[in-house]
Amino acid sequence: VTEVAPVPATRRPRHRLRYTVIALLCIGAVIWMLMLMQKNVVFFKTVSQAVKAQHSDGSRTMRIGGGVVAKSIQDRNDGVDFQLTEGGQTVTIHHTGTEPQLFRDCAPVVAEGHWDTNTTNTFDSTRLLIKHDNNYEAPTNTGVCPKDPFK
Amino acid sequence: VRAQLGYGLLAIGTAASALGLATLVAGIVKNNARLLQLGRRYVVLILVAAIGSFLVMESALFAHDFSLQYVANNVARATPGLYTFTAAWAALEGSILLWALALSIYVGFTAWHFRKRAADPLVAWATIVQYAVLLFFFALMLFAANPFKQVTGAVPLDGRGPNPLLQNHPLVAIHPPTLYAGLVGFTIPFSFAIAALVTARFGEGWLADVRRTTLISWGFLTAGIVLGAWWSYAVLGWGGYWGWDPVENASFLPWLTATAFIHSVMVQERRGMLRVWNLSLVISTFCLTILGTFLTRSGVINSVHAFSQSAIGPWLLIFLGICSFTGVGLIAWRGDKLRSPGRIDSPLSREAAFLMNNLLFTGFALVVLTGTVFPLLVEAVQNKQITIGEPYFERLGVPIGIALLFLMAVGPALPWRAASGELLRNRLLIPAWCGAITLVVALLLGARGVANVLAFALAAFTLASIGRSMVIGVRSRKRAHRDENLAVASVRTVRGNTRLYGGLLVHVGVVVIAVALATTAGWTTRAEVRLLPGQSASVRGHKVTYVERKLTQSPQKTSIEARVHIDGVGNFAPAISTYPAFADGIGTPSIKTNPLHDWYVTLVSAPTAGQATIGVQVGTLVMWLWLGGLIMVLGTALALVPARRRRVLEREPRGALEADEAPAPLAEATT
Repeated sequence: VTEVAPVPATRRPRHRLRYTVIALLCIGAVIWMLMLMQKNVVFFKTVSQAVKAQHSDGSRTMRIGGGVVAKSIQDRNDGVDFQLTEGGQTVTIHHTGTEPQLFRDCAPVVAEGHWDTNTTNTFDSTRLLIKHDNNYEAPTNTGVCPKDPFK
Repeated sequence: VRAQLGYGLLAIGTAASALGLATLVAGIVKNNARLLQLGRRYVVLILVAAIGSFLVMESALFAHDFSLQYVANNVARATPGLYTFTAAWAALEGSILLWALALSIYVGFTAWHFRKRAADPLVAWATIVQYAVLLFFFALMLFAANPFKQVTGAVPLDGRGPNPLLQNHPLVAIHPPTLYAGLVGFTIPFSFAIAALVTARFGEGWLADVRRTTLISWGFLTAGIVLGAWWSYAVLGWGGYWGWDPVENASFLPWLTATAFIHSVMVQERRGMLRVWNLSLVISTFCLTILGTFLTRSGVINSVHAFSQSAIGPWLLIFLGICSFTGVGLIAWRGDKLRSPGRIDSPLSREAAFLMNNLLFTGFALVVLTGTVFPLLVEAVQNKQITIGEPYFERLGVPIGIALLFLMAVGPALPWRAASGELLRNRLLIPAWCGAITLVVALLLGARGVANVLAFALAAFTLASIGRSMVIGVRSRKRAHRDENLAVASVRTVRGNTRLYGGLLVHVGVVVIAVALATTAGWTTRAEVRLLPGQSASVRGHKVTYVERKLTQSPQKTSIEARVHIDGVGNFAPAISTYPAFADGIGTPSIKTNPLHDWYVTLVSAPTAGQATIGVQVGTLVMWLWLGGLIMVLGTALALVPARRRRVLEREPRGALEADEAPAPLAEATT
């Protein structure tokens, strides 16, 4: 296969406007992307960190993680209520929607949602995730979780 | 013994890569053809080392040789044969071994393919790059992720077994090797791109040389991604198949840039344009595979702090740095010589459509890359854990996907250089009407959501457009060969241009997937029922009965099954299984598939006090996601079949450049 030297191209000035428009469109697209990303940033906090920053977070969407308090799960028709604990702090999670598999006492759970504006200490969740953990320990006979899964 | 044997083979592989590399460099410096021939032969040694060490690993797994750390961690005596075999890639060290094996096979085939051109500097440089990549992965195992490490202390009596998720579905045997075969293969086009830059031969020759390997890798990667989605659906029990998870994004990113390359390469072959662009795409594809390996293999994803625990993270980062720096540096160095001789004449031309396609694909890649890497950067710099929510990916990905569907309908109908209005009307009017009618029908049938309705309409538009080109092709063949019947003429038309019809078949697969994406997103219902044994509830008009609980125990696992009967659908047995060495159990969904609906039943929690929580999901056209993937793979395979030499001269005029350069027709150059 023979290869030839590339032919130098000349850029005609009438193309300049076109390139400017394309460049501006690209910049606009990137800015839009960054704005969308900023809007969809979801912070993760453990229960104790979240409680500490509850005031400044207001009702912004975030994820909080902790262990499900043993025997705290109460089923409702459209979801479930339970207590989530970590670092000595406990909050009530008011979850609407379905639960993931293996949602149970002492499970390490991440809830996505926001603080309830009407009641303190309640977090309205729309999505529950189980943090997969190979060191899961079931509650003891006295109904206590043996460990803090996010420690 | 296996530890020494395996490690010895890895050492041989490392040494052979290094020596082969040094020999080739010496051959190029001294311009000595014999050295170049010799350097090529090192690939045999590398293949022996890679295949040998993989076999040693398999024999250790099957012999339950728990003196090896990897075997003790990933296999138990009770592990069934299939999962003992797949345990070879169930953890970090073994997956690097599989990676090295796949790469050696690719390099071996490439060396064999170019056996008569070993003295060609382009091939020699490409081989140097391939040896360098091999050297890196062998050295990685030798120094940072040794799969043959021995246990410290007493040899355990039994191993732990693979991660539960990796021993409860046979897809584990297919998905990872397929994905690797895809990712690893991009090393070959990368090596030729670097070689073209070094030797200043960035005409179209190197593209023809790597066309097949690129397509093969792309086909494997496509299959690997679809199989991954299927695995996620069938194993993880969340009812979905894609979650914009960093691990998924890691394989999707190189797919996006590789797909862009497969399209833009045609512009370069045809018109000699987009040279820098194509080189950049090939180099970024390879770098993204390394980035993906870094993301998924170094433990960086759970937390950046796991970084220090995994020894391979820094290695991969440094390697990624070297690769991208070399690529960017070479392109900058050769920049002035890379100026393309052609230009796009009209926005209504095939090349303009390809350019648009490339902007969309790379834009998509940029979106996914930013969304994947940004949280890691924030955590590394600010020590805050964040995620980028799915709406970010969906809000940006859906419009890009819709635009790509549109291009798929219009692009293949556009001629090179410039289209006249009349020609467009001629080619697109009927397909466009098909799209419009589908749009109305979809609305009448109750389809809602702009993206969904547009997806259906554009799918019909695309299918009609593809059907039209097929009909035209067959018709013109029949006109030239009156003696052929329709079937013979169709087969011969396809055989005469496998690349075109293979590509169109891939497009059909994409359309099928697009429709299935829309229906699964828009027509999935989920319900959760809490039932005592014998109790029933109604889901979507079907009576769901929790029949009984059943406990099955085997040495491999203990499963609690819930027998569930759904009237008019069948019996289900979702389960939760616990494996001896793992405290955390895993759920296994029970799925019934038919062409229209998927019934997907999960056990939310182990039924202890009699009551069980059962999840029931009904998805629409889910099966077509996997079938669409299969069609894409078949199309890729078709495009790889060498085309019969066409007797009829091509109708479209060839560019002045191509007349000068006179590249051999691709089908010939690559067979």
